[in-house]
Parts: sequence; structure tokens; C-alpha cells
Amino acid sequence: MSIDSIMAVWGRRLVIRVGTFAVASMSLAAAAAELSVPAPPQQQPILLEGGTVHTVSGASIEQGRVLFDQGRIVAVAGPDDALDLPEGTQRIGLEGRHVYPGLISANTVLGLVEVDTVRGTVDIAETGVMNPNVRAEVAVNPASELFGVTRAAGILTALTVPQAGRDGLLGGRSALLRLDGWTWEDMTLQSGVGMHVFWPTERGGGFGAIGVDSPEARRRAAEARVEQLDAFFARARAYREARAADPALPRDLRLEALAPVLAREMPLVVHADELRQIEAALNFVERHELRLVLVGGYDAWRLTERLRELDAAVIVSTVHRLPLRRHEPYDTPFVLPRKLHEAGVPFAIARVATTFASAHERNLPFEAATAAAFGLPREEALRAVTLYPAQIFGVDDRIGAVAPGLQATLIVTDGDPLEITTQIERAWIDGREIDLASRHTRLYERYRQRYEVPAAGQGTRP
Amino acid sequence: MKRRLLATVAVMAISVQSLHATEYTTPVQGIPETPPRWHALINARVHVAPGEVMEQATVVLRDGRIVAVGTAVSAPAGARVWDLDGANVYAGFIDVSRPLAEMAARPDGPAHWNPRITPERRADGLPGVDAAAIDELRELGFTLAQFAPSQGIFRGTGALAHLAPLPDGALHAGTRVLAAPALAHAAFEFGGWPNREYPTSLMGAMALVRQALIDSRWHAQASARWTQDAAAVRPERNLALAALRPIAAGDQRLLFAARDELDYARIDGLAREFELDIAILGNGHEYRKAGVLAGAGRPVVIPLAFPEVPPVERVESADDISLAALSHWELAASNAAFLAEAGVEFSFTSAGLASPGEAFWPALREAVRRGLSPERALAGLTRHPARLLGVEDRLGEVRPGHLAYLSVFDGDPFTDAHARLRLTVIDGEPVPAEAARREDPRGSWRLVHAEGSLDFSLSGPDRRLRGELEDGTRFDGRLEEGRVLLQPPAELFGFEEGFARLSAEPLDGRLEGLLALPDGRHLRIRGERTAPPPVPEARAPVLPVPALQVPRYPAGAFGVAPDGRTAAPRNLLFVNATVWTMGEEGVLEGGEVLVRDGRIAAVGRDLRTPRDVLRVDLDGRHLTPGLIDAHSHSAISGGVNEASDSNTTEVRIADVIDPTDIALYRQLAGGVTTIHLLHGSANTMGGQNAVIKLRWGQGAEAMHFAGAMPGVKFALGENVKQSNWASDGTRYPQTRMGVEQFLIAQFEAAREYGERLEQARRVRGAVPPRRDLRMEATLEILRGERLVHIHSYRQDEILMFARLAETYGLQVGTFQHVLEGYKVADAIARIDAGASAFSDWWAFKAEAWDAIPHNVALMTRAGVLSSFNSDDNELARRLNTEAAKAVRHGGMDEEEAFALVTLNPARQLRIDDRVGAIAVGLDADLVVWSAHPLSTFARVEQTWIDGQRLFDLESDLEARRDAAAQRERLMALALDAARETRPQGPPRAEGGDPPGAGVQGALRRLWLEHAEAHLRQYRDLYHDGSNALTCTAENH
Repeated sequence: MSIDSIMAVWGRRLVIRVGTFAVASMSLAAAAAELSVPAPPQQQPILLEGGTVHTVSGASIEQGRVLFDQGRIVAVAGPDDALDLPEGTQRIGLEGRHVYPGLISANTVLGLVEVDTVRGTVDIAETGVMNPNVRAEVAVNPASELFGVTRAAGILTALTVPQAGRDGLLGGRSALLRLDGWTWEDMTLQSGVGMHVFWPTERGGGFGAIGVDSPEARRRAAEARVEQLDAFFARARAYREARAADPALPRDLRLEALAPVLAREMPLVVHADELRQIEAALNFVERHELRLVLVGGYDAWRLTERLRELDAAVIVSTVHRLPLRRHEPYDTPFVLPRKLHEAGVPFAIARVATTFASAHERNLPFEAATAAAFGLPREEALRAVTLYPAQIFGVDDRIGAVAPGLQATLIVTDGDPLEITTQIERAWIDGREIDLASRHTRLYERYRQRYEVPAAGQGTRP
Repeated sequence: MKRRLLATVAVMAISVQSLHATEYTTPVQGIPETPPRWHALINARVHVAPGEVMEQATVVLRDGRIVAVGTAVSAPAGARVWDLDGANVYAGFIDVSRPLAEMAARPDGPAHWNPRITPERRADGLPGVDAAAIDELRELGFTLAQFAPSQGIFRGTGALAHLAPLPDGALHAGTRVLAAPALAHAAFEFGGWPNREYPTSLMGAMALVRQALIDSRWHAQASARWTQDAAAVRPERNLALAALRPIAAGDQRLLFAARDELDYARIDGLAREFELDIAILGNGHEYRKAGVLAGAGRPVVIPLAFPEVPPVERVESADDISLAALSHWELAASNAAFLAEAGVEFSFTSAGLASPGEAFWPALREAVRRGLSPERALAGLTRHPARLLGVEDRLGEVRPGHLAYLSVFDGDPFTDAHARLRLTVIDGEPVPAEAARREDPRGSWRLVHAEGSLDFSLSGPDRRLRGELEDGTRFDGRLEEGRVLLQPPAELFGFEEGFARLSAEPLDGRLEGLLALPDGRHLRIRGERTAPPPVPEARAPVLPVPALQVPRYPAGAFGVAPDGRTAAPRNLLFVNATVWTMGEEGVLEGGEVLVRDGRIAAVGRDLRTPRDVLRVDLDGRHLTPGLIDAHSHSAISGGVNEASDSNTTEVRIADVIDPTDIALYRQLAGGVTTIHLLHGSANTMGGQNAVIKLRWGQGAEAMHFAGAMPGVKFALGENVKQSNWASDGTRYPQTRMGVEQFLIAQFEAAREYGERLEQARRVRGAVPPRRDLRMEATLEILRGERLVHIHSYRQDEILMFARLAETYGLQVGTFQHVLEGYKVADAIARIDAGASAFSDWWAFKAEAWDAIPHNVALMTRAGVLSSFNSDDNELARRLNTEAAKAVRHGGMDEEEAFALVTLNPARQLRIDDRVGAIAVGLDADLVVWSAHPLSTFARVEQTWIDGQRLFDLESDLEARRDAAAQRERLMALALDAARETRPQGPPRAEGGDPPGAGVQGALRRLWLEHAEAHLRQYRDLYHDGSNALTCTAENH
């Protein structure tokens, strides 16, 4: 590809790029109003060169080069390293730019919801207490506008988590999605990532919650719910043995779904914030000999030794939150990642998996930045939204870093992606360059025209 | 003065009733009973008044009145003489406020439209008061209690009733209630979301109080006119408005219940606004605001219900007990001592205690141990309640001419746990106390009978008795109606098996009765005490007495100690700063800012500076104006929405500011200095706004941003048409079409209201139209005196309101949220309205589907004055990086973007002559950042308001250390206290019998209920700091 054609690509990007007013023709704007088209598979080898390569798993390379082909990274090299370019390699110059692995959202309901208040678009929680058998990916709507908005922020992979409904405990099995594709099958990077349990809380209602149950009553209720979980896991174990002995026994979808968890092939992902919850969850996984990933983790810094003993990782969810207790320091949630890092507990940084939060998932990198502002080393903050979630989910052989053998899921920026003022300029998922336009840029382009080309009758009184 | 007059009249009424008490109009059938009504209490230690004691005195009572008190007074012939052996005689104790358990009766007739306005209710019939309640109070020493209606806002008039026993079991409320000018009672009562009966909020309750008082005054005026002027229009008949008249005129005292420490100032404010005679019914937190209460100069009634020992043993839960709650536990019993020290006149009430019979005196003695003088404590039961009730010339002291109500104690009940009530005198008649009447049979006895003697001891709780011989043999018994019934083994009397039956009466240290033996013989037995009953074990003082120093405010972590707020330095100079002026000078590197008396005096480089100046070297750091949040719901007490009517413009956020909200401190730590407090979006026309500065540590009044233009919250779209509710609503409007029509209808109604006012002004002597606070506020909006801040999402509704604003000439401060403002920016610009938006929220409801983060950039370019806001206690801490989003999306330059959270909101709120920039003459509201303020890596290092440093990293760390130290100290105290007082394990059945299996469950429930009641106290009085609004579609 000629320099001209590369520039043409850049030009198109620049038009769509937010904040750029350089070029705006009617035709381009009209094009921008179309739906995004999932990118086709990588057609030819691509070399990114001239920019700074932030490998995340290793040192950063100034004037670095990244070669990828057929969706995989073939080589990551410095400016002076020998590098054989296959024939037909497209070279993309990135002077002054930066290459990072695509960011990973570790706790979302993306794809399962479009508009919070429109029930028909909400598929985040099945009814009932125990839903270990449901799997998130089959309800993912690939046409969700939320994907485009999220991708534009450099987030190229997201864990979609089935939630617990009212009084629910086991939400189901989560899936890691690549945020571009024609179908949910295309999009599923990894299914059955974790079995999600929403630990009963003893915390009472907050402000104004007069008349709620007493702490003692809540404690009893929580204990009863844990007993319910214990019984369910015991039943699942018995069921597994019974089925092994007699395969003709009728299937129980729920109990069957727990098999990989009991076999420690799938982690139990516990959503819990408070000390009491986390302690109870740790006791639970010890009792049942399970693998644990903790999501939430507000009080996790008090139990780091035990978390390490159990090889448990913490997905901090979320940094941008208020202290749980009135008397706690204002930065209590901001310093949690630093405390986990200092204690040697594996962690990632995520947001909350609510419909509201997932629409605004683009703010994920800034949560990591806040953790860095409050003492987490910057490179750790970046890892907390790239490499570490990949490790926790066991997919670090595919995503989360810029390294040979990994999938070419990359972004190009004009600066630190944890800074809001940085622009995400290009992105590839498995070597496929994806469209960074979104519903938002399309609406922006559309309505800019209203003020630039005054229409007849506009601005006059009816 | 008026009240005084009424009090005198009423006391005359009391005396008339008493003087004629023995003359009957009913024809006597048979022999008339005319018992003497003379009593002489001799050998008394008379507390004539608090601090005025007469030893060896005599008190003479006749016909319900004290006729003589003195040492030289002798008992008149014909008087029944009561030798008190030196017992303490006090004026009869008065419990000034006991809530009625049942609804007070209301007379038939037209009521107020609002069911919470029932001033016509009267407690005279004492509904729900029973013998047990009366006896319990009397046995504490109370002789009179004011029973108060306990439901509603204006609740009705109480009844001062005496507490004589009910000999025939009937209450006889008619003769029990004194014809005294009882108090009216009020409280801020409101329903909550989603109950839609007005009011649903504290501010609604306050607005309703105002309107009801105004209506009553107007009603009085119109009624008077109607009686004088045949041509006048007859006003409606309304019992509530009539009953409110003496209250509104300041002739009837109102006892107003304060739910928390913030209500005192609210109640005092209403009293001043309407010149009402108000006393305050407190809640136990008065010590935190002793200064405010002393300043208000209003009598206060305080409860003696103190929190139990905090449950600190459970490590994993103890952290949920806030420091504020812990420190309240420590200081609660010092409440009265604090008030006495501050010079507040207070009375005690037993109300609020779960079991007053057991808890009242220990609590009062603890208050005395905390530094309250016994004299002040006595005043709180006698003189002050009498004064509060306006009957101080007939009650409250032991003086001739006073009514004969006395409380007589063996020992000093204010200091001595062994003191016992001996008798009360009620309505002139002595009533021996239960404790004195019934001898306690417990202790050791020697029983003598015809055949020998027997030594044993009696113990046991209450009515269950257990006998024990010296050799340890035990036997059962019980106390039944004053008789001791025992069943000792018959072998003591020479039988091989079986039991003897003993029934005896304790008489002045002796037992006298009969012993039945198995062979049928009955022997007379006499018992002599060999040891007295065990004295109730005085609970050892569990806490060191805390000093009566003014506590930090707000209570708990991060509160400001009274001496911790140093005055702003007179001269302050920031040097080596990167100064974001937000003006033409742009960003000044190496800049200096001089502050004098809280205002910015100079900005530039190499400034001439006064000699005594506090230099703050910023070493190149960024210095910006304080951030301004143009949409906040922090620091609002009792509900953000008056979610009842579609127009509630009469409610005022300014009434309900909560300066204790920890959100304020947290936002200071995010560089915020001024916030715009808005009513919620439940109604088309919401409530009046408030602008405050985050002057943490001060009261609500001090936080008001003086001079900010008044405003009001309006709302459009899904929230006002209730479209995201579980069920369909019926309130008008339910469509955007109806919203427009509703607005027009309200504007027209207000216009007509204004015309009526104008007409009345022109006609001399006309009764003006009823003042309608809702229409008044709406009229202010029409006149452009009140800025409209309108919650809006879609372009259709934005355009609709822009056109309406043009038609009616409204001043629109901001379209709030204004998600589709970018589609109709020209219409917004045309009416000079501002736009205050979320930076990037979208998709959370159908009307947010087209929201884009480029909104503000597009609007700004179309000439709309725009800002970003938080609408969220958490996001409010990061407004600087919200501004950065306008750089990312839409390409605004950095200063333009930073103006979105500083200069622009200041202009939108019309406070840019005070804040929003760093320029000469503006308030020194400044923030020091660790890095570029649009960077996600920047932290706030210092926040200044009016030249005073209200946040900085160092003092924050110090506050944390201090909070941690306080916490540890209180936890240790609580642990000590818990060891002494907490029952070990579940309570055992009476008599110590192991509970049967069937009983066990019930007992466990009992125990748990006890534990729950106990733990419930640790639900904090303060807002726990969580987001008052959670991120749900209903709220944004």
C-alpha cells in the first residue's frame, strides 16, 4: 500500500476522530451515519513501525516495530533488530504514536443490555436463586450500539457476566467477548470463564432506609443463604458421582453446570465487598476446595495474606466509588489497588457490571489512572486493565500484551490511554482493523451539519 | 406577653376547680362523705426550689393546695400527720411530654385538606393511657404528665394530667386533666417515596407548616371581616385553621419535635419567621448544638434514652459502627451537663426509654455523674417543666399557694442509687409509693414457732422466691399480693417426707403468719429479720467522665474541632504557581496570587506584597479556581424530591441543608468549593434551589452562598410523566403533551394570582387574597426574579420549553442534563439560557438514547453557555477530569474545557462576580493540584474557600490519625463497658430453671429481639455518606 493510501486511511480516521474539525464533507458525514461493519479477517501482514510499543508484559520499545499476520503477532522488535518482512506486508508508520494491547473490561454486562429502562432490551439476570447453567454469550446482541462506543475507547475485549436477580445467588457463566463480530459466536473469545456467585450482604440499606431489618436479622439471613449455597454445592458433588456411577440418571442442568467448578477447571467468581462477605467466601471455597476470583473486593486489603494462600485474585470493582463507611478516608477506594499490589495479591481493575456502568465502560482506563494517582505505579495501572485480567481469566496466551504469539488485538494512540485527553486512533482485533466510529461520532457528524449549513426556516419561530 | 396573660387565666381556672372540689351540686343520697383534706408532712427536708433547702420543715396541705411551708410551721389540728423521717420533699415531678399511644380525638367538622394538619385534635380524653402507664410514671416520682398527640405535623393539643392511682380501674380523664393551657404539638412528619401524599419530604413538611400558618391567619382575618361586613364573602368553616389561630398568633406554645440536631435551627427559624412561641422537643443530640440552642433561647425537652454499649467484640462488623455513633455513645449521658453549661433551660422526659421504670433514675444519676448539678437536674423535673407549661406560679416549687403536688424520697435520688420513692402527693392527697407500701421480703430471717426456730434466707427475682437454709437446702416459694408463701421441706419439722406450707405477711421488718404441717397442725410463726434485703446493685460507672468541651463538628471522623478552624490569614500569597485565571490572562506560569481578607487582591508576577503575609510556595503546581458543581443533591436532609404534586415550587432546599453530610468533605478533597443544590426531577415544577459553599465544619446557615440568585428546579420528560414506574401513574401529566399544558396552566394561574394581589392592593381596606406560597414562587418565576433550572433530555421538550420561556419571559438559568441540547442549540442560545450537562452519560433510559459526549462542544460553538455537573456524590469528586472529556470529545481547548466546571457554572448561577475565576475582587476559592488539572493523574492537594484552607493532604492525614485514635479509645472503653454490662449468653428463665425444649425457641427469639433493639441504635443519625441518589433511571 502506498503512503498515499495509508494517508487516506488516516484521513478517514481523522474525520471520524472526535475533536477534529479539519475535514467535513457531506459525503463523508453521510458515510459516518451508516452502521459499522465488522472487519474482515486480516488480509495481509501488517507492520506497525515508528511508534512507541508498550508491550506491557515487558519493556517498552521506542521506535518499536510490531509485525502481525493472520491475526497473530509474529514479531515485536526494536528499530535496529533484524526483522524479516513477509512479502506484501503493509507498513504503517506511527511516528509520535503509541501501540498498546487492547484494553480489557473485566466486569460488564455488555451485549446483554441496550437501554436500562426498556425491559425488552435487558437480559442480564435470569429469575431464580441458582442459575449456574445459564451462559452469557448466547444472549449477546452483536448489533448493540454499546459495543461501538466501548471499542472507541480502546477497550477491545470484555467479560460479560450474568447477574443474579432478586434474591439470586448464582448468576451463571461469564464469557469473554471480542468487541467486534457478525454473531455472538464470532465474538466469543472464551466461554465459561467463571461461575459467578453474588455473595449475600449483611449491609443494611443506606441513607433513609429506616425500617430495614436489623443487623442481626441481616446476619442471620446471610448465614441462611450461605447454607443454601453449601447445600447446593454438596448436592452437585453427589450428583457428579451419581452420574459417573450411572450415566442413565436424569440430567440436572443446574448441578451439571457446577462440574467444572468442582473440578477446579473454572473459578468460582465471588462478587463481594465487605470483610464479612469475603471471609465467608474464603471459608466457602476452602470447604469446597474451589478456585476463587473475587470481584468487588472493597475490604480485600484486610485479608491479603489469606487471599494469597488461596491463590485468589481480586478484580477491583470499582475504583470510582464512594467509601462504604462514613468514617473512612475519602480515598479508600482509590488506594485499594495499590494496597493489593503492595501485598502481592494478583488484581485487575474493573467497573461494576450494571446496565448503567456498562454503557459508560469507556471510562475504565480512567479508573486505573485514579489508582495510579493514589500510589499504584503507572505501569501496574496499565497492566490492571490489560495483562492482569488476561492472566486472571487464563487467556494471557492470547491477549493482554504485545508479544509474539499473542493475538493482534492492539490500539494506537497519541498518548497514554489512561489520560482522558488521549485519542484512540486505530484498533485491531485479531489483526482485523476495526471501525472506531460509533453511534456517538455518527450523531456528532450529523448534527454538526445543522449549524454549519443553516437549513431553511431554522431558528425561526413556528 | 399574650401568652403570659393566658397562662394566668388558666391557672385561675385550676384554682377554681381545686377550691370547689368539696362542694357538690349533685343531691347527696344517704350520708355525705366529707373527708378532711388537710395533711401535714413533718420532719421533711424540703427543697422549696432547686438549691433552696429547708431542714426539719413542715409542709401543710389543704384542699389540694400548699398552705404553709417552714421550720416554724406546726401541723394544724385536724390534719393527717405524715412523719417523713427527714425524707427529701420536692415539688411534684412533671413529665412534660409523654406521647399518646393512640390517636387523639378530633371534633366533628370540616378538617384541613391535609391529614397531617390536625391542630384541632385534643388529648383530653387521654386515649390509650392506662393504669400501668400512670403507675409506672408515678412510681418514678412523677405527679403530673403532659400527654401529647403523637401523629401528624400539627398534631393537636396535649393534656396535663395528674398521675393519681385508679382505685376503681377507671381513668376519669375528665377530672384527671388539669384545666391548664396545654401545649400544642408539632413535628416534621412526612411520607417517603413512593407514597405520593403531600408532603413526601422534610422540605415539603416545612412548606406545609408555613402555608397552614398563613392560611390560619388569613382565615382569621377573613372571618373577622365577615362578622363585621355584611357584604364580605364568608370564608370556609375549618376546624384546623381555627385551632391554629392561637398558635399562629403566638398565644399558644408549640412543642416542636426535632428529629435530629439539624432540626433545632429549622424550628427556631420557623419560630422567628412567624413569631411563634416554640419550645423544642429534643432527641438526645442536643449537646452537639448547645450553642445554637442557647442562642435560640428556647426551652428544650430532653430524653434520657442513652445508647447501649456498642457491640465492638465482632471485629468484622465493628467497623460498620461509625465514629460519630461511638462518640455519641460516650457523650449521650453528658447531654444535660452540656446544656446546663451552655445555659439552655431544659426539662427531662421519660419518653423514649424502653422501660422507664428501670432506666429513668439510673440514666438521670448518670447525667448527674457527668457534671450536671443535682439542682439543675431537679429544675429539669420541676421548675422548668412548670415554666414550659406556663404554670410556674402554681406548680414546680414547694411554696404556699402552689398546688399540692410533691415527690418525696428517702435519700437523694439524684446521686444515690439506694434512694427510694416514699410517697407522692397528687392533687393534695399523699399516695404512698409501691416500694414503700410493700415490704421486700428478701434477706435473712429467723423464724420462731411454737416448736423452735428456723434460719434461712430469701432471694429471687420479683415474685419468685427461693429459700435457702444455712446447710444449703433450698426450697421454693413466691410473693403473692403481699404475702410470702413458702414450702420448706417437712423434715425440718420432724417429718420424714412432704412439705410444710408457710404463709406470712411482712410487717415492718417482721413476718407474721401461719405454718401448716403435714399432720394438719397450724402453728403461728413470727419472723425477725437477721439481714435486710439486698440493695439493688448500683451499676458501676463504666465510663470515665468525658470533659464538657465543645465536641468537634460534625461529630465523628473529619469533624472540625472548635479550635481547629483557624481564622483565615489576613494576607495570603501563593507563589510559583501555574495560575489558571480563567480570564484573558489565561494560564500564568510562575504566577502569584495575593489574597487579602478572603478576597483575591492581586494576580500576576512579582507582586508587591504586604509584610505580614503567609506565603504558600506551590513549586510550579497548578492553582485553579474552586470547582463549581452546577447540579448536586448532596447535603439535603429528608428527601430530594417532594414527589407528590406536579407543582411544588413552594418547597425550599434552603430549609433542609445538611452540613454534616460527609459528601461535602469528600468533595472538598476533589477541589469543589461551590455546589448548586437542586430539588429532584419527580415533578414538572419542583422546588426552590440553594447554592452553598462547602464551608465544612460550620452550620447550614453559614454555608449559604449569600447573594446567589434564587432559582427553581423544573423537569421534563420521563421522570415527570412517571414512565419508568412499575405501574402506570395517574398524576397529570403522563405525556410530554400534558407537560406543556400543565406548565401553561400553572403560569396562567400564577398570573391571575398576581392580578388578584394587585387588585387588592388598589382597593383600600380589602382583605388581600390568601397568600399562596406555591403561586407566589410561580409568580416570581414569571417575573423573572427566579431562575429556572430545567431537567430536560430530548430536543422536542427542550424546544417546547424554550418557546414557552420566550412567551412568558422566563429567565432560564440552565437546561439541566440537556442531553439532546446539541440538536437544538440555537433555540437555547436564542433565549440566553445556559446548558449544564453530564459529560458522557447515555443509554440509561430511552430519552438518553441520543446523548453524545460531544454535546457540550457543539452547544458551546452554537453560542450556548455550557457547563458540566455531577448530579452524583461520587462523580462530584472528579469534576476536573469530567472537563477533560470535552477535550477528548469535541476538541475543546483546555481552558475552554476547564471553564465548564468553574467560570461557566458561576455565570449560569449568576455568581461570577464572586467565584469561578482567579481575578481581583473575587472570593479566594482556590485549588492546588499535584499535576495538570485535566490529567487523570492529578490529585487535589489543597482547597481554599474565602482564603481559608478547608482541605489539604496533611491535615487530612492528621484527621485520619485522630479518627483512628478516637476510635481505638472508644472501642477500648466499649469493651470495658461490655464486660461489665453485657449479659453472658442468652438470658435464663426466671429462677434459673433450664428452659424446656419448647421454650428454647421462644427464648432465643426474645434474646434476638433484645439484641436487635440494641443494635438498632447504631444506625447512625447522620447520613452514612452513600450516594443519596443511586444511579437509577428514576433519579437522573
